[in-house]
Order: sequence, then C-alpha cells, then structure tokens
Amino acid sequence: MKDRALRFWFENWRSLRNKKPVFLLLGICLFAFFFHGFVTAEVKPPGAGDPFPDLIFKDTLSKEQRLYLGIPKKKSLSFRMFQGELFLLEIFNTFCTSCPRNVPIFNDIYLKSKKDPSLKGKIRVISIAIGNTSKEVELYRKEQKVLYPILTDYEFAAHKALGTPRVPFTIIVEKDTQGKYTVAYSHQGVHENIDEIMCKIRDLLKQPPSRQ
Amino acid sequence: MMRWKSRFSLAIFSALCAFLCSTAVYGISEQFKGKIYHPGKLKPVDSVSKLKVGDNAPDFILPSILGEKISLSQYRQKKNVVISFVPAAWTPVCSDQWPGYNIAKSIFDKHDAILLGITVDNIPTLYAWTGEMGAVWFPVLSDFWPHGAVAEKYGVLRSSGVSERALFIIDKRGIIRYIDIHDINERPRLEVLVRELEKLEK
Repeated sequence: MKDRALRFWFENWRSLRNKKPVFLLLGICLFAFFFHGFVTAEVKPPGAGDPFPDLIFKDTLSKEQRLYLGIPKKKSLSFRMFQGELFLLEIFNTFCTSCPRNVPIFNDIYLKSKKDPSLKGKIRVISIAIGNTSKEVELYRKEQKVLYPILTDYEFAAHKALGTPRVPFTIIVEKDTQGKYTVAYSHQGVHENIDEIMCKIRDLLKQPPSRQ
Repeated sequence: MMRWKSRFSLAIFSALCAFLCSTAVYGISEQFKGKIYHPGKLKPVDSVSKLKVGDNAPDFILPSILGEKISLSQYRQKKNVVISFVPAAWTPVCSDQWPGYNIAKSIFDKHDAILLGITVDNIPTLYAWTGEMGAVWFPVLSDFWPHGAVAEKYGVLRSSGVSERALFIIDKRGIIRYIDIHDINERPRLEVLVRELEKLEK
C-alpha cells in the first residue's frame, strides 16, 4: 500500500514537470493559500454604468415576499427572476451597527413601491445579508422591524460578485428592454434621509433611455 | 496513467474552487474601515481544556468598561450566564461577533440569561473599541491584569497571550452546561448558542 502511494506521487511528479497547466493551478492554489483570510476590504464595489451580475440565493421566501418579487416558489432564486424595472438593493450584515439606520428609509421606499401608483410594479426593494444565517436575519428583521425581503448570502458569494463592498452599501439596478442589468447608482454608507435616493429613483423612472 | 493524471488535476482544481469559495470576509462594517488589524489565519485552537460540561464554573471578579466590578457569583440563583471570550479588540471576527449579539438580546432575555464579554485587552482599549460598535447591551470585562488570569482558569489562554474564541453557558446553579472552544478564525453561529440556551429549560 505504501509502495503504491509512493509510486503514485513519483509518477505524478514526473508528469507534472511536463504539465504547465497543472503547475499554473498549483501556483494559484499557493497564492490562494497565502491570501486566504486576508480578503477583508473592498476589491471594487460597483458604480454607475457597471454591469450587474446575476446572483443566486437559496432562501425560502414567504408567499407575500414571492408575490412582491413576482417569483414562483423555488428552492434556488436567481436575481434575474425578480420582476421589475428598477431594483433598490441594500447590502448589509446583522453585525454592522450603522446598518439599522437605513432600515426606516428602505421600509418607507418599500411601502411606496407597493402603494404609490407611480412606483408600484416598477421598483423592488431587496436586501442582501452577507455572511449571515437565516436565524440571524430572522432576529434582525424582528428587532429592526424590516418590511422588505432579505436574502441571505452566508457564503459571501454575492458579496464577492459585487466587489466586496463595505456595509451598508446601496445599489440601484436598472433592467433594460433587452434584459440587460446595469448599475444605475451606488452609495457607500448610511443615508442621511430618503430624499437623495427617492430623487434618483424618480429620475430613473422618468428618463429611462434604455427602456424607451 | 492518463486517468491518474486527469484525476489528480481535477482534484487540485476542485480543492482550489472549494478553497476560494469558502473565503469568509469579516470586519467589513463601514464604521471599522481602516481601523481593523488583520492577524491572518491562526492556529484554530491553541490551549488545553481545563473544564468540562457539568463542572462548577470558576468564579472571578473583573473590571468592566463602565467602571464597575463584575463577578460571576453575583448572578448565582439569579441569571444564567453566557461568557463570550474573544481574542482581541480591533480584529476582524471579534468586531463582528459582539455587535452580532445586539440582535439577540431578546433571546437572552427569554432564557433569563446575561452575556459577559471578556477579552485580555485593557479597559481603555475595550472602551474605544466597543464605542466604535455603537453600543453593546452586555457587560464588557477586561481580563488584562493579572494578564489573562480568568482565561487561564477557564483553559482558554493561548500561548500568544490572547484568549480563544470561546463560549461557556453557566446555569443559575453555577454549573457549566455548554462549552464551545471555537476555531479562532471563525465566528460561532448564533443559532447554535440559541439552541443551547433553549436546552437550559429542559
């Protein structure tokens, strides 16, 4: 058994010497090993005009939340499934002590997006909790009285796809008639009031060149 | 031979994907930008356990950042106690873990439990650090001097002089009901603690 293992490693070592792609993979592995755990700051958070990646979630949403987002009951959710023209996204986590300050503003916009005729059906308010479990999100929702849907990103996959922004981070995503998703606005930090963000939403809905 | 080589390459590639996909990101709240020291990946556990579930919890008296002295025995017959040892102020995982307990206060209240946060940092450091968090609802205690004496008593003092990332649940009789000497590089999941608190009533 020991001989067989030794022979396996020896034979593979000999073959590795002639295999550049394998060496490249090993190099990447070593790089990843040394930098694992150091990925702690922003890479490049998205800004206006940047393409918005598709994001996948495994949350089980309530019937009300599914109706709001216009999606069927599924085990896996894709951002591309959500109905609407604009998406107001809040990236946060439950450990962030400044993040709750955004909740009343996002709750307000969420209620407007359901009741205001000029916004109804056009904008969806969604939150993504990075690094959080569903239990943590449940407690945060209850504690902070969050009304809008919160999706969990426990493995930080969505966070990485979005350039690992610090939290809270706000993005407005615009969907054009070709089904292309683009970042129309981004904001780092807490919002002082609802005005700036509502102004931006109304502007985007009034003059949507890509959607005309 | 070719089959072995392709399997070998596939194994390396799969390991790489799993490794990169599992990279957790801690301490990224806006308020900590530029203020967090990243120690890199550390040995998961670097101490020898001295206590086990069912033991009497060693008593201690430590100063809190509010200037009072807090002892474990003051909660005897009154409150269940959760002790959260975290390694150090101004580090990524710890800076997430304690604010994370802010949303769980109702859970602690429901189980008649108090949380005591302990590190080996001194009072001024802890005061500044927890101030940056906004506020935490539980007593924050300094095990600075004699350095790490309580951590040592609980078997969670690492060879570098900081404590492990450890959780102890102690019931109203002073008996240890749960111990989690956690991987120092990772944040303990809140639901596990909640589940253990629920067991206290059984």
